[in-house]
Amino acid sequence: MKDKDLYNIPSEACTKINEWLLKFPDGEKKPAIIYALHLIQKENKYIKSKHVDALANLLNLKKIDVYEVASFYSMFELEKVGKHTISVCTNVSCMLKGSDEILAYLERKLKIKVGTSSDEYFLKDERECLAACCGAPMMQVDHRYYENLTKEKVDKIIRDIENEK
Amino acid sequence: MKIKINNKECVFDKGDTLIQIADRNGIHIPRFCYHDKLSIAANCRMCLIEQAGANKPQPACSTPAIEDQEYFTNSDLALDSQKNTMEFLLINHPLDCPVCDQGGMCELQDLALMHGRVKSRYKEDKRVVVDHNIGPLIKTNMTRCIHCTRCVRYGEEIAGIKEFGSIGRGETMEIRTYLTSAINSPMSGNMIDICPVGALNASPSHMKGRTWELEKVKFISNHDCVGSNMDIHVLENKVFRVVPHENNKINEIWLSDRDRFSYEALDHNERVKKPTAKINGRHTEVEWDQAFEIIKNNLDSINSNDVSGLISANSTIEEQYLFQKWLREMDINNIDYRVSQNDFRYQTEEPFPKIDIPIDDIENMDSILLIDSNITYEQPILSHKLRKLFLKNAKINSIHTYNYTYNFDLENSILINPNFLVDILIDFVEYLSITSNRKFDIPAEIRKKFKGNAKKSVQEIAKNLLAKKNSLILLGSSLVSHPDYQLLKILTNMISIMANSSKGYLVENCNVAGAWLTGCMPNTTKKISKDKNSRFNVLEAINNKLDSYIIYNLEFIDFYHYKELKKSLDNAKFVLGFQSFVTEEEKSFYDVILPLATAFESPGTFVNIENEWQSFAQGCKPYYMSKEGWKILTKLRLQNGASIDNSVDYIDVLNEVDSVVRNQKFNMEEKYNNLVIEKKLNTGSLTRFGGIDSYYIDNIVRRADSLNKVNSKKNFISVNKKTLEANNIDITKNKLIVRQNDNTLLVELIIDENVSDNSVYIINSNKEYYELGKRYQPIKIENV
Repeated sequence: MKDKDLYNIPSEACTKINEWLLKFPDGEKKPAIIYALHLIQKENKYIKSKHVDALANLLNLKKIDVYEVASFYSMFELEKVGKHTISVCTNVSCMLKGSDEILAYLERKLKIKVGTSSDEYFLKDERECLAACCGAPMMQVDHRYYENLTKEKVDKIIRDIENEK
Repeated sequence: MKIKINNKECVFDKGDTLIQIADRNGIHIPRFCYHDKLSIAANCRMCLIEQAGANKPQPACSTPAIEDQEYFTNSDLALDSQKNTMEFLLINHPLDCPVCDQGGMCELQDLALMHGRVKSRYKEDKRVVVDHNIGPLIKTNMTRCIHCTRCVRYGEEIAGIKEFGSIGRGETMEIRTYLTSAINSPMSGNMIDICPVGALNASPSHMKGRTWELEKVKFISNHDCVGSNMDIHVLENKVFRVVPHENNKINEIWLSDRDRFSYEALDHNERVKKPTAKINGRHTEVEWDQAFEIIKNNLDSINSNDVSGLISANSTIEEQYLFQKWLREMDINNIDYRVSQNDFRYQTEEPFPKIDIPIDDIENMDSILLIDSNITYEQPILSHKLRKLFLKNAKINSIHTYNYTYNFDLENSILINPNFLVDILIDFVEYLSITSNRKFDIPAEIRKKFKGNAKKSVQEIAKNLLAKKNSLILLGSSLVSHPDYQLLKILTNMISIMANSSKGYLVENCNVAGAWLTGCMPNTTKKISKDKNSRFNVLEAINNKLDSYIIYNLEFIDFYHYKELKKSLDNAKFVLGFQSFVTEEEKSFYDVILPLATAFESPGTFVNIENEWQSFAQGCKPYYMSKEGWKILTKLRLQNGASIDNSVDYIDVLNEVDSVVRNQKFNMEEKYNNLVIEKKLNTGSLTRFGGIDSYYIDNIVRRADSLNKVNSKKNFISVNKKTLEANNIDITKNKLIVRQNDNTLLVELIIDENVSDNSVYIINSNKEYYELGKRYQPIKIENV
């Protein structure tokens, strides 16, 4: 295996994972998988096979154990995604308040289809209810909630993100 | 405690699940995910049954019985639930039974017949799953998978190597391996058996025949010393596939891949089809009678002391018995089976190759010591027993020359250079002589070697053996070729006596015990017919360059002294081979080759390491003109005027062996006189070591195509970093040259910290390694 295919989990993350493991009975390593994947995804945006390898190695588990978890939860991205993740809620409340139009507008504006990603943006498909029905329609950009969306508001949010750079 | 199922009273113990109770009482409950050897998943929902008073059906596999309750497996509610579950399972299952290998022995098919609807109501598109190549043994067809996860649990719990996993969820869930990795477990074939549908099929027999066309014959495994029971399925006089035959004393319901797929070799192009004889320097096909005549003429003209008969320990006991009888009737007494052995000291007291306790008793041990045993690959079934122990929290320790991959975790392990294996066992004896309260007279020879400083790790293992009531020491099978093998056996025996442990000498071949019992060895006090004089063992027979050699079912590379053998054969006047397979090169050494039926094609008996005699019937007719060994040998004896009936049948041979050998009381006690402890292995430099690849151990497995594709990597050696640096090897390159005497070989280098210092680990998996030189000999490594 070439060096560039190897990944070392940063030492701070390792410490955090080990602290997390203390909460579980001795020898139980599997409960740390989700937590560790979160840490890795936060740093790398999405989870590559080298991350799975590194984590399996760290926790002394089989790679397939880690991969099972990573593939099960929709919060973990296994394909390359852009810098910013946008999830538009399309559940009942948001749908009634016009989430479909917001989603279509975003697709046109960002020039990507829902479920796909450009270098900048990843438009996640089928996000289930995010418990913000009182502010419907809503979306989540990089874990931040934006409520009562209109097209103008979406324009502003995207503009703000671009200005931040 | 009692419950009623379908108004039938059933007794149970606390904690028993309903399906267990129903199974014991012969009450049918349909199931897919439940398997009595695996943990409970309760995810197929096929086993729903009704509990009187409960408002919903209960899964029988995961519901513990409650005392005095009534359950119904055939009430309307139960049948309705099962029917509904079945309908859902069939929604995505393709209707390709006519082209599915599982058809005819499929649990889904059977249960669909009993519990399914006549017609599907589902009109929408079915789910399709892309198949991935997971290796040469298992053919996947994952669209047929019903997600019972038996294979996932099998890998995790039984094989101990989790390879399959369930990826994704909901409708997109798939059973697959990680990325593109192949299945690597030596017992992976069992997943084919436990798969209730046609998702996992045996690759070598894929799409080649139908279940109902097959004939079943019980057979005994012929590739390791365990003697697993199996059924061979025969189609048109060819072995079509092999499946395990349940035997709870030995292999339970499992089978190693090696036993399952080795049959592929049977129609290899190196099979001997007809008797051939060298006439005017060229091999010519001859008739059987002609061949017999040439043999008689040649053997008559050679002094019987100048003939050596060497027989494989993979041959049946009938063949071994008749072989030695045929030779001894001609006064040829240089008979041996120990061709891979290198150490012949104390051979008059050669101990019986066995394990002290029955195989199923291994499960009751509390402590195990493995001595250089790659047991997971060499004896997968025994390794499974150790894994069971490990899961029951027994302690498994190991002294090894390489950190082998096991399917259990080790408590303590000592990695040691093969040169010092004897020394570390002496340390054990020394430590035990102080701590053990069992009196044992340690020979002065060994006492002299005591150093008084047993390592901490040795102490730990010894304490562990002493502290537990039931302990077992297993001597690895690859040590047979170790130059101090006999010494290792003696020391193992001493340790077992002092630690009050049972012991087992594992061996590579399936019928070593048979060869020992029938006396296919010279110079021993323990055999049925006594030789008048001391005779040549295999090593002496090779070194003395005799006039004639008779080689039965052995290839040259089976011999430890491979090169010396070739030289001696080249010199000999008459070389006779009884062979199933012969390579072009080997052919030139023989004067006569008789085509021998393999064990699959002949009735016979194997004696395994627990001295269990297991007979089997003829699976299929011999290949082309080849004949069963007992027939050939009987014919040869008749030709020599032996007083046997002309119409002798296999059963007569079996009866004779039974009465002469089986009923004979042998002295199994191990006693060594005039003990001289002199270590032979001391290369003082870099040592070559490593056993034979588990898919290269005998003439059949070597030619099994699919098995040999499992490990595609063949030409490599493993050395650790420290040794490489000490030998000035450029580790940036991944190739190097190895040299033994005048032979060199260019190989791939693997830097491997599992190897001990100052040694080179080579898995003998191809002929080039045998051409290079011998195991346990000095070796040099050089830069390219």
